[in-house]
Formats: sequence, C-alpha cells, structure tokens
Amino acid sequence: MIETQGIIVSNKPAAESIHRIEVETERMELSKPGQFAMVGISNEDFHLNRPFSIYRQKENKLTFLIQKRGAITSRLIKKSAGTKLRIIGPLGNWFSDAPAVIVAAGSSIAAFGDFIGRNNSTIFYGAATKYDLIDIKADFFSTMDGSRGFRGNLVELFMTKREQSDKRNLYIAGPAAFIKAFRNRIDDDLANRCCASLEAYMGCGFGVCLGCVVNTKNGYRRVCKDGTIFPLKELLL
Amino acid sequence: MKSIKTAGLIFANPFIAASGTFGYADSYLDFYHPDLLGGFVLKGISLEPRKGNPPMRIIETPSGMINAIGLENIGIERLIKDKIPFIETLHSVAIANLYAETKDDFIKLTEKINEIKRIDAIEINISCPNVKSGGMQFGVSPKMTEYLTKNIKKVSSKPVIVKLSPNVADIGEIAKAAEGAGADALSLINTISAMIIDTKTMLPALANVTGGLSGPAILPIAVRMVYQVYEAVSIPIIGGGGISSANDALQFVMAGASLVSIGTYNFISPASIPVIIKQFNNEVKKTDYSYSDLIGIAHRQHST
Ligand SMILES: Cc1cc2nc3c(=O)[nH]c(=O)nc-3n(C[C@H](O)[C@H](O)[C@H](O)COP(=O)(O)O)c2cc1C
Ligand code: FES
Repeated sequence: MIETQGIIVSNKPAAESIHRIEVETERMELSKPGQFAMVGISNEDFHLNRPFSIYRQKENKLTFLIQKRGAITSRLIKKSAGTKLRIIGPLGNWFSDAPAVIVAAGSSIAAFGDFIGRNNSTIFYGAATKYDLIDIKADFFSTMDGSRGFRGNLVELFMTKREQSDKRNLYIAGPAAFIKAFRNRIDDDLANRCCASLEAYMGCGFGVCLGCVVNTKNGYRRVCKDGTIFPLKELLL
Repeated sequence: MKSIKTAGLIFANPFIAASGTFGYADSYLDFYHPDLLGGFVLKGISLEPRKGNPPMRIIETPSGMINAIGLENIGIERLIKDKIPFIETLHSVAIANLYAETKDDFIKLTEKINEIKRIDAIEINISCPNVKSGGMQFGVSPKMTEYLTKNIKKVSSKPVIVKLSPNVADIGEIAKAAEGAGADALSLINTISAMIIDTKTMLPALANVTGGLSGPAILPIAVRMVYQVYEAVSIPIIGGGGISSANDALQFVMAGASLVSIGTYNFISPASIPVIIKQFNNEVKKTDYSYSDLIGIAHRQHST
C-alpha cells in the first residue's frame, strides 16, 4: 500500500447518481480483485478519506464507480478533470480470481470489475430501477420496478436461479441489510461457499484506527484490514 | 535540528505519533520508517485484552472526527509477545500508553512495563472519554490525578508522562497536581467529549452515544490549554490536538510545548509526518530563533 497523489482524468455519469471517475496516480501497486483505495480531495478542508472499490486498474490509472451518498461523494462527483486527490491503496483482502458466481447490489458492482466480461463467471446485478444500473454485461438483472430484468429484489432473483450456483465460489457485495437478507434466504451449502464484501464507515482504511469493526464469530474484525471480504458464515450481522 | 533532551529522554526531533493513531508502531511501515520520528506512543494498553465498544465507533464532524473505540487492545501479555520484538528493532523514543480502571491495576501494568527494556517512558491515560470507568474519571480531579501519579511514580523505573483531559474546568490545576506528584512530563490534549445525532434515525450516531472529538476542530482549544499549562508548571509538555501542518506544530511550540504529537492526521495522510518534520525545520530556521528559544515564546513576546 502507498499514499500518492491522483489527478482526475475523466468524470462521467455511469448511472443515476453514480459517476465513473478515472484517476491517474503518480504511482500505484497493482491491486487484486475486490481491493479498494481511500480517496480524499486534496486542498480542501479536513475530511476523512472515503473507501472506494478499485473497479478497474491499468498501471497507474484507477477507475472508481462513485455513488452520491453524503457530503464528500456529492463533491467528488462534481469534480472536473485536473482535480487533485489523495489516494491510499491498494487496501483490504481480495477475491481469488477463479471463476465465480457474483451477486452485486447497486454500486457494489464496483468490487467485481475484474470479473465483468469474463465468460466463466456468472453475474447477478440488481438495483432499484434500470436508471440505477451501470451499463455492463451481466447474466441476470433485477430491478425493483421491473424496468430491466427480473422485477423484485436481487435475493429473490438469485433464488429463482439457484441452480446457476454450482460448485464455483459465491461472492456477494452490498449494504449490510442486503447481505443479511441474502444470508437468511440461502441454505448452508451455499452459505459455506459464500464470501461477502462489506461496506463500513472508515477512519483510516489501513487497519490502525479500529473504527470500522464488524462483529464476527471471532470477535470484532476490522472491515478495512481483516476484510473487506469475509466468509459469510463468520459474520454476525 | 539538534536533538531534544527532555524528561530524561533524547528525541531526534520534536514529532511524536499520538497514541491510538499509530497502532503498535508496525502499521505505517509501507509509508515510512518509525525511526524518522522523534518518538511514538503505542495504542493504549491494559492488563487484559479489551474488546472495545460496539460499532458505530467513529463519525466525521466539521473539521474533525469523533471516536468511541473504547480502548480495544491486545492486552499487555500479547504486546510483550507479539509486538515488542519488532519495537526492539526501532531507535526512536518508544512510549507505552497505559490504561486501567483502578490504581492497583495501573501499578501492576507499570510493573510489567518496567520489565520491557525497549519502552523508554510511560504515558498514563487518565483522560479517555470513551470508557465507563477509569480513564477520564481519574483525570478530571486534581486529587485523583495526584494520587494516581504519586503511586505510579513510586513503582515506575521509567519517566512518567501524564496525559491530561481537556474535559475539565481548570487544566492548570490538574497539571499542577500531576507535577506536584512527580510527573516527568505532561501530554495534552486528549480528545474532547462530544456527540452527533443522526436526524434521519433520530439516534445518537455512535453506539456509545458520546465519543472523543479530535482533528483540526480542537486545535485552538488545545493551543489555549498548552498555553495555560505552560504558565502553571515547569515540567516539559507534549502538545497536540488537530495538528496537520508544520505551522500548526509551531503554534504548539510557541505556546509552550517541547514536543508535539500528531494523531488524527495520520489517518488522512499516513505518509505525512516526515514531510511535516522537514517543513517544520525550515520554518524554525526562518524565525532566527533556536528551537529551545521558541518553546513558549508567545508568553515572552506577549509580556514585552
Ligand atoms: C481513533 C483514536 C484512538 C485513540 N486512542 C487513544 C488511546 O488509546 N490512548 C490515548 O491516550 N489517546 C488516544 N487517542 C487520542 C490521541 O492520542 C490524541 O490525543 C487526540 O486524538 C488529539 O490529537 P489529534 O487531534 O492530532 O488526533 C485516540 C484518538 C483517536 C482519534
Ligand atoms: S478504518 Fe481504520 S481500522 Fe479500519
């Protein structure tokens, strides 16, 4: 992991309230699938850096999918090319890049950039409406209003296609409420093969502040350093 | 810059990484080597491991953050077994930060630390706002501060730094009590008791309800307190609270701090302390004063 300066090279809307922001860093180690970076806006008043999955990386260039949520993300998605950022990364543990079945809710699709477009993985991707989906090739879509793919929530879509999930790894990502709903709906066999990437409010992103803990069967674990990816079975959400 | 001799210790430069923001000195190796620091304070340690508070533990606030970690730590035995071997390879001043709920536990902890050669000094945390007992409870009363400091001084084989709470009416009074009891130095400020309410959920944002405010928001309060403590006592002061630049650090020195500590800013820019040290040295040069003359200079300038 390193701390470096990044410069926004492009910032384009990717879906309703999600921007695809490309950042050229001075230097960056190669990230692995599912890792993230802490991002802050240089030369602005004090704020904590925010964690974002590294959606794509090509050498020093990182692509993030940034969803408008609070004050900092609202500012970030308005920043034009040339804006300087603080970048710390790559951070967190990672997914094995073996073929997998992926279930991604909303902007958490960003954790799976490396799997998209690879023919041996199966992707379930859901959001509220078709306007909230970024334009990618997934195998199955769900929207709450039925504007694209299955009408209803992603967990139910996955259950109707349960047979898709053979012996491959099962990876999910999304807000805690989604992960909880998913765990409550699936059987033990699936749960045993499932790893979940969690979101958390983070102070540092590299394991030192102890601000981001989640309760697990092994006690409190740091989402940023012991995760963000945990075996689903270990989580006490 | 010349090294700084204070409280019986020698610091290569005045910069200290603050407790709870530097882990056990092994968290920043990807960013810089701890030998570049004047010193570092380890995460608060207790006799037994502590689980800490439930999440949410932190929240950003205007120009700062509030934390209620609750002193989660690995306990003294694991510190000795897992962390001290690495710390033994370092050369900057290593300070252990001690937390206990009772005087007797503070004494036991001090005795354990006596046996760790590589720890150069202890900082006693009588100012944590995020635990139910011990912590701040000791630090808000001059009598308790004196009682505890005296007892720890009796058993400690190392210099004793008392970390003061800003959550008091008269910090000078507490500082005097610690000095009177034999403290070798004072460290201030710890975080300021604070809270945030989430108006959507109508609940306190942190599970612990209250937490400790740190970051630039507290800097002017911390500078004021260092200024007051400098007038109240003659032992050295480690000053900090919201420092994120060389100029911030210089304010603390001018208020009376011999050493300065950086906490929250390590989270924002983990590689920054060595950069700040360089800038600080340049700023000191520009003043035409020696570093030791700058310590507390605002008092002397004010009275002339
Ligand atoms: C997440 C966090 C954990 C902390 N843990 C400790 C601790 O264990 N012991 C202690 O004496 N101070 C602790 N502190 C207080 C800092 O050492 C420092 O005194 C305070 O944050 C003010 O400085 P700053 O504004 O530069 O952060 C902690 C602060 C933060 C933000
Ligand atoms: S965000 Fe600081 S430990 Fe995870």
